[in-house]
Amino acid sequence: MRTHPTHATTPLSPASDNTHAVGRPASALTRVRDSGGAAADLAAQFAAHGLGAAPTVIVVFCSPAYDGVGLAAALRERYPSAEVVGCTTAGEFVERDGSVGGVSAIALPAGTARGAYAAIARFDYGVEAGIRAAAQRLGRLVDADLRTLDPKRWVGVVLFEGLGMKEEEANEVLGIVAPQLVFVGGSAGDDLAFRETRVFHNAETTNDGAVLLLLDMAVPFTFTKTCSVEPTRHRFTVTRADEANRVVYELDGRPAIEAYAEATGVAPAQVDAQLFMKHPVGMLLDGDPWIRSPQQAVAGGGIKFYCRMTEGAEVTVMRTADIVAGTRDALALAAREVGGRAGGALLFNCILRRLELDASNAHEQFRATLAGIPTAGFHTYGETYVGHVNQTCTGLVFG
Amino acid sequence: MKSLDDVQRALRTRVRSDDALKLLTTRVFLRTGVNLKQVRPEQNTDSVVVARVIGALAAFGHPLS
Repeated sequence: MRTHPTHATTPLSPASDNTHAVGRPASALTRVRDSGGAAADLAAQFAAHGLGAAPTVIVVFCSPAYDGVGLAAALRERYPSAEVVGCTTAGEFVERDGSVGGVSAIALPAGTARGAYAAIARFDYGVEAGIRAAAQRLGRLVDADLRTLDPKRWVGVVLFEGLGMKEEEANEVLGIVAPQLVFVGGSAGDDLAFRETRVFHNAETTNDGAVLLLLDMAVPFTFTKTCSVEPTRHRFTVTRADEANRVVYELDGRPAIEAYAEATGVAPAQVDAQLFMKHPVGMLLDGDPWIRSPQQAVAGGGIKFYCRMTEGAEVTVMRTADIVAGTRDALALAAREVGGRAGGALLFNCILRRLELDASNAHEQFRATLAGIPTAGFHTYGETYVGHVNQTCTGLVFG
Repeated sequence: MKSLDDVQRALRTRVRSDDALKLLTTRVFLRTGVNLKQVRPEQNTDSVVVARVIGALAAFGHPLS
């Protein structure tokens, strides 16, 4: 899944300023509330940070207080050649600033993404139908079956509506329609109101679907997936689950809440949101945790998660570790994998990690891990890297 | 095909690229909870699990039968 050999000794640093002919990625963050004013501010920042060429795509993450389509329209007036995709958030950030209630964005010129193609997948007639229809539209745009695209050249970004619990099915269908491509992304937020989230592409928007973005990359790229957790010695098999509703009723044949409480050293009645946040569970694949975060205890001794749990799956109770150090290490590794100098990044950071950064007042340190790399990110209601994960920061890092 | 080891071997002969195999086994793992690269002994010959994995592979475009 990597695009270039790693270079183990090269430092993490932004790309050098030698890209005037083709431009370079530029990020921006604004708190201006009206769409026209926000677009103007974003454009001024893009110019000030060296965009230098017409972008092929602009990715926008905005507070639910904004009209995403209005923002996209205002950006397309300024950059008619760009596809504009985005979603609502539970907080936004770039490498030098962060907000709750603002807009973050990144513009990629042709020197980074020589082509960008996007389509909304509407789930009105089912997730599979929506993803397949969007994939067909993308196939027509790129004039190829997505199954045939070279994964060393093409990458997918997916932004999901964040409340419908459809990410697992949608990711599985993506794996069917584009089995060789990696999709990375996140689930839209709404500043913790849990009322409505939206995704948008140019003049289209939906609160029940996803936006798919295919990038034809002109530079090396790689992925990051960091969750800053450590395994405990407590491991269980899921023995009874309601997969569609993301509820686990039994672990090792015992009521899930009992087994979980015992593993975390508390009485079942003391299990609360704080404990869930400190002790997510992970499915370990070759030692790499794919995190499933508990959400709440439910009747019948069950635990509802933010991610589907499959009967027969083995899960390990984890403990959270240093988010800042973990992110720094992951991004340094990603930068090495694209040749030592990252030219930009899109990051999708879990809302639970944001809450932990809030509690430890560590947002500045978190942004410092980006080491000046032009980045746009948002705090999500779920992250995607091949599949749906929780309490993770996923991302696309390019050279 | 009676075991996950059988499935794993059959898959290896069909998917030559390491990257493609890694991506596919990750998708199967996320869908079924089964790590085909490190099969758990209690799952290896469980017919329900084997059928579930074969079904997942077929869905991802790799029918083994």
